[in-house]
Amino acid sequence: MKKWILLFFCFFLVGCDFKEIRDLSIVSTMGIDFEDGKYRVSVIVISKEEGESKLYEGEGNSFFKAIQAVNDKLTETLYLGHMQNVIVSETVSKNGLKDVLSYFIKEDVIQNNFYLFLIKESFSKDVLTYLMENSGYTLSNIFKGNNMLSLKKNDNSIHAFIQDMKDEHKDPVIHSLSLQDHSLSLHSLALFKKDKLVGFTDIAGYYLLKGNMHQIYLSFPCGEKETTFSIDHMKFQTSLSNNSATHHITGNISLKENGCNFKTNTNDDSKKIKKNIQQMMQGKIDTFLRDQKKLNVQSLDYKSLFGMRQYNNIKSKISLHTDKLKEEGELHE
Amino acid sequence: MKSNIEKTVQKITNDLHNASDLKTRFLDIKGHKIAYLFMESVTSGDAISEFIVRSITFDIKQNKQPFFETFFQSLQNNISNNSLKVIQNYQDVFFYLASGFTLILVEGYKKCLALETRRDLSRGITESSSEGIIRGPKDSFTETHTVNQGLIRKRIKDPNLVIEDLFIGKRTQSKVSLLYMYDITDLKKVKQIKQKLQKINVDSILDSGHIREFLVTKQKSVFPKMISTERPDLVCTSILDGKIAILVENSPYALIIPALFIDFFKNPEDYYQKSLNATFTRFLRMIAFALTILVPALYISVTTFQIQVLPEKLLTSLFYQRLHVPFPTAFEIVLLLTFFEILRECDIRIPSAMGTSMSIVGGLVLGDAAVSAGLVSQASVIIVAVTSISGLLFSDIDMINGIRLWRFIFILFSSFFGLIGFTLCFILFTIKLSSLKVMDVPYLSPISPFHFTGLKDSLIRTPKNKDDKRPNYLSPKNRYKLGGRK
Repeated sequence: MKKWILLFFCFFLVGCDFKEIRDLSIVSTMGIDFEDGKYRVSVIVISKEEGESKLYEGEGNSFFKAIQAVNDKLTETLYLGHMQNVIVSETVSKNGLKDVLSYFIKEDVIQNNFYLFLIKESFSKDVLTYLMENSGYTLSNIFKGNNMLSLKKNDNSIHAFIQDMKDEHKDPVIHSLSLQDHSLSLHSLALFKKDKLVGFTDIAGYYLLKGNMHQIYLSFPCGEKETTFSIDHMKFQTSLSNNSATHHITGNISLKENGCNFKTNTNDDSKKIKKNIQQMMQGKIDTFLRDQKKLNVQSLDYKSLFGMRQYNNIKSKISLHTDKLKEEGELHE
Repeated sequence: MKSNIEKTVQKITNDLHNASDLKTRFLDIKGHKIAYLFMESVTSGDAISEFIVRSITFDIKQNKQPFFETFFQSLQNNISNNSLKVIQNYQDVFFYLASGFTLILVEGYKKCLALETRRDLSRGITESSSEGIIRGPKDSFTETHTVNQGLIRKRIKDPNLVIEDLFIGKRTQSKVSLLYMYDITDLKKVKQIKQKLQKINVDSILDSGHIREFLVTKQKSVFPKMISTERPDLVCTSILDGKIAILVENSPYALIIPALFIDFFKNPEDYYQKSLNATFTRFLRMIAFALTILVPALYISVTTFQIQVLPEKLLTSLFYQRLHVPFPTAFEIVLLLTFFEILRECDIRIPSAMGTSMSIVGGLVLGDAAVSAGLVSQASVIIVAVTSISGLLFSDIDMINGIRLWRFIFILFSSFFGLIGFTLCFILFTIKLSSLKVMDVPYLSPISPFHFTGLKDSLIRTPKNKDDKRPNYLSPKNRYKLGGRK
């Protein structure tokens, strides 16, 4: 009898979730725009011809209806379980991502580990068209081949966004893309207050403080030539004193020279280089902290970082370590 | 038995329905009328001529042998034969005739003499066909009972090795031998088995397989509770561990009881290899067991229900592979597995000369052609191949059949309920296995319930010099293997 009861419940637990892979329209990328009070959803679907993909779009008064409109255009069932990227336009973000996010949370097949991007001053459909035209290009490459920084691990997935949104001490961020002169690049960091876009800031300053960075490319004179230095290892340590007036960050940064031989330089050159690096980093951190203050957002978890919500009195102290170089500088916010 | 030999011979002939292989001959030895009978098909003509006829017609007739009080006694004492029996019960006549004995009837006596003149019908000791090994003894059991007993006796020269004979089968009167170590084996278990064997009331026992079902009656399970083996070395190892072996006349397979789940992951060759290598091989067998039972069901679950768990690249690859396959995944897998089972069954039954052509047809048709025709996907062929190859690691046919059945049960659950069904089936499978007992020993011993000493020769194979205790769960009389400690 127990066996039959188990089998009976099994039917209700499983539902009618049977689906064959070949009967699915597998979406790889989704773009969401908002125009004239309507949502417009564009999707890139894996085509039945190997190596190709197709673009579909649908409109609706709500995000759900727009998705339904796309589904109606497809012969197979729309499958969002393996979506890798979702691109939202500035207008959608300014209106708030509540509708979009609630759909993603409720739809059990969606895994919430895809990347969320924001496209600045363009439509997300344009990005999808760009991706279709450049079939070899994937959005994850944007973190590896950027001309300024290379990220170790990008945690700006939809899951991280939702977690940050729920966190009292932290506001969510999204990487912002720019599509100009037929070139797609990582532009800045979109700052959100709950689910709404409030502004943009410098991306390097954010990651310099966060420390989740593989490399940062900084350009400055080295000897007589313009040479690129890369910082390939970065580790920030935070030390706090009891007196809130002297809170400061201590950053230990190891540098690996790239294109400039420190050994051959004179002491004066070395000092000049170090000064340049510090000034550059200080400038980026200052910009980020200033934008945070201006827009009244807390993109980094300052409570855990400094044990306080306000960061007006933070002093950043950065020390640089290389085989030959060692000097300390101070950053004042 | 009657004192008139002509009437007796006539009665025997009638009762055997004038069997064509029954041969009779009447002789007159010094005024004593005698008759001898034998069955040509099971007796050796040379043995009859050389020893019996010669003794009767020459030695006794010529008074070369001392004469006893009666002629019957003279025959009984003067015929050279190592196995001579006096039969008084008429019903025993048929048993001895069929067993290759020659009967001598003497006029005036209500009894007869039975002399062993058995023809050698054995095929000789050959290499095991179903349990091949690379290193270790190659001999295997034959259909001759005494040879089988000898193969064990020559390995265990201990006087404590007990060989008890029983005759089972009303018509076949097959000899069934119970072998165990008197000073090691739990005698309660021996008694239990003996009682079960004695209760068997059937017409025929033609193979050891016939008595299996009489020995394990309480719990039904597709997994075997006794090992069926051709290998005398495995039987000896088991006997020395405290288990009981059963040999059946005319069967080249011995039964070892009790057999636990873990025993089917062992191989006699494990004991002829380095312990570390043998342990590694055992782990391989366990992985193979999991693969062969679970892989097809898991594949069906993740490709038809929980697609989201597939990595993106794998999903895309499967998408293109399955694009033109007309069947649902579950049906495709069942179809391929069924074909494989048919192929395997053919491989066992057909003559070896046809095996090559069958392999070509089976391999090409099932593999390449089916994929090219778009009937099945490459991934499904790979899944079925992995499943089937993993299943071939087990030599016990009952274990293979048990695995096969559970594989299909897992597929059924996964086809209807996805990973939830798979998990549910796995729970049922574990419950079923852990609730089984063989002669009051839990089937999953020594893993569940956990016995540390039992683990020494189960999951792992400890070196021989450290494996000093017999498994606890067999309740042996003497637990120590080394040095005879008690």
